[in-house]
Amino acid sequence: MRVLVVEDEKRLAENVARGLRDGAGYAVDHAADGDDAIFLAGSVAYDLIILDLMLPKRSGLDVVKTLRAKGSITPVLILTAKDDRDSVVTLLNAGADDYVTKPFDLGELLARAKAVIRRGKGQSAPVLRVDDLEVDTARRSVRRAGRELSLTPMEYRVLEYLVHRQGVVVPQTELLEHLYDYNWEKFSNVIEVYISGLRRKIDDGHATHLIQTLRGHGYVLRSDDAGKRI
Amino acid sequence: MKRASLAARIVVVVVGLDLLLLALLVALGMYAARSELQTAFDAGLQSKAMSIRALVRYEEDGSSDLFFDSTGLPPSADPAHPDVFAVYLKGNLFAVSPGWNGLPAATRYPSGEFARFRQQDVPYRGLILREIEILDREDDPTAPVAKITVVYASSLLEMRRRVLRVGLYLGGIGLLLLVPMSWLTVWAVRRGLNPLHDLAARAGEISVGAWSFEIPAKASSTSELAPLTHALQTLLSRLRESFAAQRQFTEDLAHELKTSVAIIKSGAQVLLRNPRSAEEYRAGVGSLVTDCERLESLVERMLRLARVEQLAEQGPRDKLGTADIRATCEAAIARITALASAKQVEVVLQGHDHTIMRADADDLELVWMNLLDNAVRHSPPGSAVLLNVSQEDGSHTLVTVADRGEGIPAAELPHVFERFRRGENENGASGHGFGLGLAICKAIVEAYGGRISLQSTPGRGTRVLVQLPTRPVPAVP
Repeated sequence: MRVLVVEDEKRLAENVARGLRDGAGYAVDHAADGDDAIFLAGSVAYDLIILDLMLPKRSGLDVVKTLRAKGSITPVLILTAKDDRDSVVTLLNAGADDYVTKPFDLGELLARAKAVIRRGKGQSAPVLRVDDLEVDTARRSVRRAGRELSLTPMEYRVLEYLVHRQGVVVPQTELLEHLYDYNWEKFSNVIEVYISGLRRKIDDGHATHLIQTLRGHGYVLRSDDAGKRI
Repeated sequence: MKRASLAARIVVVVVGLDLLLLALLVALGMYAARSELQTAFDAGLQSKAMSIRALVRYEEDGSSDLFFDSTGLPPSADPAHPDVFAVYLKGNLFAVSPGWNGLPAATRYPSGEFARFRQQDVPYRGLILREIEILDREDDPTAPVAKITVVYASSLLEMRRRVLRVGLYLGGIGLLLLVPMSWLTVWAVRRGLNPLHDLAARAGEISVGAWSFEIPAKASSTSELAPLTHALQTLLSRLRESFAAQRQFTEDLAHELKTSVAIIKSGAQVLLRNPRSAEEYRAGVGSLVTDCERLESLVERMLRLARVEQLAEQGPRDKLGTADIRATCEAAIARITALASAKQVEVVLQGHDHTIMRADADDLELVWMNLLDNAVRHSPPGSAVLLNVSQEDGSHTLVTVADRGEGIPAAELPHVFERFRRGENENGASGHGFGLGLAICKAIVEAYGGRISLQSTPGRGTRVLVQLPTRPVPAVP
């Protein structure tokens, strides 16, 4: 998952970004003002935007309105120091999905971030299932047929993204875009390495192969009959 | 204190004037009635005196003796106080009415005159006709006609009673009319003051929550209330602005405080979330201490601002010492040196005028510190910040701080002295820049009766001018 943190207080942005990377394994980009936020959100498909309300150049409310006017469906989680009812109602009506008030609890911020991402991708339970594969996004653990699997952080991130988009063909470029922030060099063959690692840990020894490769198209996580290894 | 009622005052004055008018009317009425009655009275006297003249006759026996025929006397006007008369023939009393007391001894009335005198303590008015020929004639037309003097008087009491009746009548009617008139006056005055009551009621509805003040139509169309409504509106709009500014400030402050706390809290939670090495913990706690210092500096600046604003409200205090402007500048430069050398910026003090003013030296030093701090932070390496102190005239000193930094966009200039106003490239990153520095400078300078202004050309640099009321340092003997 890739998150855009829009916050003008550099220290706060650092803390939030670090919390998201360490606590949820997300890729995080940072924008320090409203204009940068609009630009970044327009050029990258983020899974979530965490947005401070008081920003230089453009207010957070203005950013939300602009994004929604441009047709963006990326979930927006607001960071606000105002907790009066009116401003919260205005925000939600403008297209924000949720909010936390400063000073917030980092654990709560992460939980809400996960929930908003989940709902944005059509999932509701924190434990996502495909056939007998279980991905617990809260504990960041994976089980197949009741047995706990040990994944590397990057393997988990690839699987987490695929399981959120289960049944949909995800191209390599999409995976790259959603798993790395701006500071990474992008090599598509890294993805192939993670996918093969995941296949080995998840599908080996099982009759149904859940991770499938559609050559020239991408990857899909599903449990139908097409799952027989070609 | 007893409150004076405007309405009561107006009513008392109007009713008092009504009474005065009524008294005048009664007096005039009585005077007019008396004049009319007296004319009739005098005409009556004239004709009655003539009747008496006709009653003096010659005897029928052909002698030239005279007699008074008392059978044809005219009737008295007032039966209670009958008319009196006297007829004199050649200086002797010839005929007289009952009750005639004679004229007062000293009277010497010319003929045809009316006279006033008393008869049995009753005022009478009489007519004296001297040496008039009697009407009767002797048979011999050549014989001389006898001449008599007639005095005829009637009581004035009846006439006076009538005049008094007219007065009473007029006064009574007037007083009766005065009652509804007064009531009408009270009603009209109260009604006239209605716009004032409306205005008061409307003004009474104003509160911190409800600022809207519509002048009632009646009040706005009343010219006497115009200054009051105008003053009220001006006062209200000023109050509203001041409240809005205060509310904005409180919101901004809450935002800053919550953000500062959020930084510390999230920093600590990030640190606690995963197991870390001692090195990482040390670095994390170090950042937390820096974050705490930032919060501390925010609180300290807020308190400073509050103190300066309090000072401005109370006005300059007597116990203030005197401060040498140039000395405070030198002290500020000494404190900024470390930052300046780190940024490779030179701070140059120009001007040699020593002037003093009644002020707390720490306050002035803080102003120069804030201005120099801004200037140094926005100066490119290798450039210089100029601090110039010059005595403008005997009573003012101008201090300028000029840098060769990137300048401030024209759109930002009107807002630079607002609290929590940050420049575009200033943010929390520097750990400074709460946007309070210039606000504090302005508050201090204005509290001491000075003025502060800022000139800036983007790309060329910024110059802050501070003008303070001072006097020259007295020469040391």
